[in-house]
Amino acid sequence: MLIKMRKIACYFLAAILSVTLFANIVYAAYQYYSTTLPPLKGDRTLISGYKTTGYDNILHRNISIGGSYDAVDVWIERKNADDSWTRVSDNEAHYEGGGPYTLWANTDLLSGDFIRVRGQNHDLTYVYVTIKGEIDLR
Amino acid sequence: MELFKIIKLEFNFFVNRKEFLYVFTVSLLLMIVAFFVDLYNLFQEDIMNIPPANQLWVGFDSRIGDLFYMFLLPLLASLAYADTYYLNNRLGVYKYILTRCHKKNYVLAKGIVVAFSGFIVIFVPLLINQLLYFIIAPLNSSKNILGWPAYMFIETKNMIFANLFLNSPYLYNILYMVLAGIVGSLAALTSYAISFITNKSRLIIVATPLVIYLVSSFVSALLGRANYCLVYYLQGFTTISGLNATYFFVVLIMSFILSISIIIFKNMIAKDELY
Repeated sequence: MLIKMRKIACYFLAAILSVTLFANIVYAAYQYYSTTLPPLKGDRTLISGYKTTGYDNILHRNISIGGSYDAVDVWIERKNADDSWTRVSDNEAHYEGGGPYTLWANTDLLSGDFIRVRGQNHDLTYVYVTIKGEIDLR
Repeated sequence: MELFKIIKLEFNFFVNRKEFLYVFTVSLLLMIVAFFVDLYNLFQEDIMNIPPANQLWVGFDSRIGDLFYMFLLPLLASLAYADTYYLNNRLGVYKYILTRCHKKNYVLAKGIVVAFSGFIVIFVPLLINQLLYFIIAPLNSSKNILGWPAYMFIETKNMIFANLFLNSPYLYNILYMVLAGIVGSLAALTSYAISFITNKSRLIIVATPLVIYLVSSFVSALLGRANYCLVYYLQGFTTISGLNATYFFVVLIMSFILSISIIIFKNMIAKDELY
């Protein structure tokens, strides 16, 4: 009887874990970021982390940019074995209040790849500009 | 009649001036470099992935264009011919000129040629850049400069002349070439006006419009009002919200009136040793 109950408990646990993992895959896991974009189109990492799926894209939404600036240029970089970074997507302009944007990589991204999303102000600026938003690295 | 003769003479001086040729060459080279950078990036690209020629134009949304408009435009315009009154004065040449014609005509003729010089060193290279893009890019394309998919149309909400862009994109670019030329013209005229106020240094005369342009833009940006930076009004595509056409034209008219007032006051009202 005890063995049977343990078996049921194991099945139940396995079922919960499966559902949780499935939910992680199906539903987007947006992460909040907040940073400043340097003047004169300086680059800044918006967010970085591991890919949890094999989708070759990331999602970007709820963008808010300071001052009168309205758009940020975004692209993806992947970390190599020698700790260097390789750009794996083209630049794409993302507007404040727009989206959710899907930024596609032009290479095959695998689950477990360490990637970062880089950004720069779309216009040449004289000053630092704050930016906030949410990104799902997928 | 005398005025036209002096204009013709000044125009000949302007065309043959070494500084004008240098400035024009630098301006033209920048436009050609911008073209070759895009040519390299788009080399062997599928025609479907190339944005239209109007969006590739350096004055629309280009990094080299950004630098040109932000740091070089007023300086190049002022360098072409605006400091010649100062040089004539410094070298004593004006005495020989003023004994042969009326000072009013001389100042007016020079002012016209200075304004023209500022316009031409900005407008012509921009126009040539646009013509170059016709060689490599299609006139119309579903691909846009923002990197968006073909089904998403370029964002027009921050454009001052959005209707013109949507209906006649190439006319829209010509309008922006003319606007940049007018700003160049006003920068040259400002330098010319300053040469009546001070004769201490050629650098002050040539650099003052650039300093005013940069400082005013920097202060506006620092106060969180980037929509008052003049540079963003000169490019066909910016993502700055709250751009106001009235503000831009008022600034242009005010700087024109101010320059003309200085020239009139220093020449027509204040008399020098010859007049």
